[in-house]
Amino acid sequence: MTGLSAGSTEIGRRVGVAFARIDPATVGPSVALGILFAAFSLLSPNFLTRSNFTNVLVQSAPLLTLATGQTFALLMGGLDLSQGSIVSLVSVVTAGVLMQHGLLFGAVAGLAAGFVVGLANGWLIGRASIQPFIVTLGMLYIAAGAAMIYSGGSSIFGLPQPDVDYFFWFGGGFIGPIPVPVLIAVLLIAMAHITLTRTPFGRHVYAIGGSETVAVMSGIDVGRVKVIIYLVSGGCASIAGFMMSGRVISGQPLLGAGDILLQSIGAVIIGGTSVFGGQGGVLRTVLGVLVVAFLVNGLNLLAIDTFVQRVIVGAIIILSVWVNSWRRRRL
Amino acid sequence: MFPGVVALDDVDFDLRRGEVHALLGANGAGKSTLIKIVAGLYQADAGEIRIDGRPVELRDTETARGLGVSVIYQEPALVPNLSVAENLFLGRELLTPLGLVDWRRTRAEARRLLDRLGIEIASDARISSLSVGQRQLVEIAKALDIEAKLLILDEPTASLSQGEAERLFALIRRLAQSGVGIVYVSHRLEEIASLVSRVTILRDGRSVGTYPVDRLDRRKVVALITGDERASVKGTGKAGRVIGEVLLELRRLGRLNEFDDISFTLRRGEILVLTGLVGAGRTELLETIFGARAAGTGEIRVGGRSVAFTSPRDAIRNGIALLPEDRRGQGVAVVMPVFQNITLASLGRFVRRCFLRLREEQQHASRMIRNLAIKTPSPFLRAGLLSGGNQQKLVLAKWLSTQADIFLLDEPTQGVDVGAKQEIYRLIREIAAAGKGVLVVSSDLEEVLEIGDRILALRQGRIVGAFINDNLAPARLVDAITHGHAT
Repeated sequence: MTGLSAGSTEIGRRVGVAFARIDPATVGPSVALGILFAAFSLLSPNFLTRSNFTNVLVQSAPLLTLATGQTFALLMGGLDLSQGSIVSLVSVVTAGVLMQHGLLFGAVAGLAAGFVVGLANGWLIGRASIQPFIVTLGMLYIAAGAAMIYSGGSSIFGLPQPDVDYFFWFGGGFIGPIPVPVLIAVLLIAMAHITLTRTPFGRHVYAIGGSETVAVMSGIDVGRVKVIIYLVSGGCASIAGFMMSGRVISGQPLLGAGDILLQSIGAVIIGGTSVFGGQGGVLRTVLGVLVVAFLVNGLNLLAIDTFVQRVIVGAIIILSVWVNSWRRRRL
Repeated sequence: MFPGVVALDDVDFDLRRGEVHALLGANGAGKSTLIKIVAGLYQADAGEIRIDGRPVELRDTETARGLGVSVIYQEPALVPNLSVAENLFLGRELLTPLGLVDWRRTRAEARRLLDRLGIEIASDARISSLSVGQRQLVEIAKALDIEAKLLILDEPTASLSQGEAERLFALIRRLAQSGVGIVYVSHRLEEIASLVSRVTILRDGRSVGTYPVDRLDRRKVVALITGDERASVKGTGKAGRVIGEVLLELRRLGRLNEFDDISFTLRRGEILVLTGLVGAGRTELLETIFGARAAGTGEIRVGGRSVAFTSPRDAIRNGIALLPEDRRGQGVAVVMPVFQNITLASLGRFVRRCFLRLREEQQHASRMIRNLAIKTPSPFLRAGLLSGGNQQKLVLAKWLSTQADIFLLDEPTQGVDVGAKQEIYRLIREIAAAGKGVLVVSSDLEEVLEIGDRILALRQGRIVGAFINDNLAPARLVDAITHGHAT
């Protein structure tokens, strides 16, 4: 009798562990990615080629980097609307300083400018307790304006040799067969994943997203965690801005003014991270980015026009949240 | 609705006009499911429901309400940002001929309704500014305004103090006399024995019988609810506990409009109970000790040192733990797994070289789950899926994982079933026996007398009586709480 019950609880435990390991939220985007691969491979001979894959990954490296930072903000139940403007600011400051003082100083100054914006976000949200939406919306304008002021509203071209070649290396170079920006993005993703799953800080991010009051009542320094979250988000945006500028070897005051911010938030959501916080993770975000990137790539190969592509991406954002909420209600 | 689980099976239940009928049972016995079927939220798979002798089909809540069924659920369903009056008429706003909200009439009707029930709450007060107990009263007022033939109350007194409960009982009697049939769902018979005429007990989704109330006593009820003829026995009391040095001392502590001139000491190995009506300042006092509110006047001393905590974080570092009254809002992170809830306040223990040792953490959680007998299929289950009693144990497990010496427990058994209650009492005694100091806030008289070594009665923010719990007559306590006399 005791042997039997001990055995059955052991099985129960193992089943529980197995279920916990397979994250049901990742099934949707994984299946979507599989379907995309199958469909595009059949429809276009150019899809399943090494050059195409390299191309897609290089192009999506900045988005991967941005969305990795954005994941932290969404996990705590917030969001970061200033990422795009940080990209622009980092772009013009890096290029501007590089022009006079070389790449090293350019990189330090540019990245520092982006980190300062992230820190300001974090301080206002974590210490002054203002809503993330309000703070980062304001910062979206402030950082975009700062980028325009610094650059006088025009692009910074004609960067000096040899710095410009090194600069390009970060955005479009290779180490052997591996594209440098992809390598940077993968390293950041790995660090972010380990931080979220294996450090007390990561656990605190989930706790704040799950219930901020419970986090406070459990002795978590919520203000400090929020400051770091927005520093991470702003930092990722800075690195993305640096890579993007390197790729176009210039400083562009409108580099992050386009779609990239909304893509970053959209990718996190498509990956299955909850907009209410507390549930999700960086690996889901990677899936989300890949779905968007390969979808757009495939549609391009099929010569489907970009206006239609936007309709499809939008529909997928809504669909993914719908599927997730339907799954949760069913369970 | 519950795949693979039969929540209710073959239950017969009848309610007469003007009768108060108690529905008792442990958590998960099927009380809530039965209520929700009658309320039209769930549909029965088999069987028949008749109202006034006619078979009815309760497809949805609208139909049920139209037939005069009114339900008051355990969790107040009020919009926190709206006023009392707005909530009372939510979804059936009083309109002017132009189709705009008639504020004058809304306020007047709300006032009349509250006055009729003897509820002293301003009709334009925001719900968010009210205590849990006050919200319950508003909820009841809301349900009663609909012309109800059949009123179902699900644990209405779980968060009410003695005085508020008495007022509610008077109201229920009046309603019953006017011909309303009332189903009163509860965990405890004692508190409602004087109120009800018949009692139906559910266990594991089946009815184990309907009895006239005078044929039941506490022992029999507990036996029927738990299915255990041995029934529960009173705890071991102070046995095996040594009262040690002073852990916590308050000196003339006060906060404007909340409490004033509070002085007491809590020693190692001691269970001190603070009792009083809702609004007597009990929760506020605990939160002040815990650093969630700033003290106005007076002094808090921990381990002989004067302290001024500015956050719960400070208090926790100094060995204080708080089990909050609002379990789902402040105690348990419902979307997080069970094991992460257990270790949330003690993650530092599992860090080696900046990283969490997940295996160690999970082993610790499994040990706590075993030691506290937390019923969960897996440590990875979302904490929100546990029953109330097990969530409460989870919060205790969280604090037992820290170095806390001073345990502040705010209504530790609110909304918890009979069996789990006894287990929580046992845990509280074990915590005290391990040399920690326990300060319990409770408005459940029976609980106060069962676990307290010493009892402090709080009334309108002041201590009006201090008692040693040695054959203490309940009447003396009630007198102090409600009238302020300490005899």
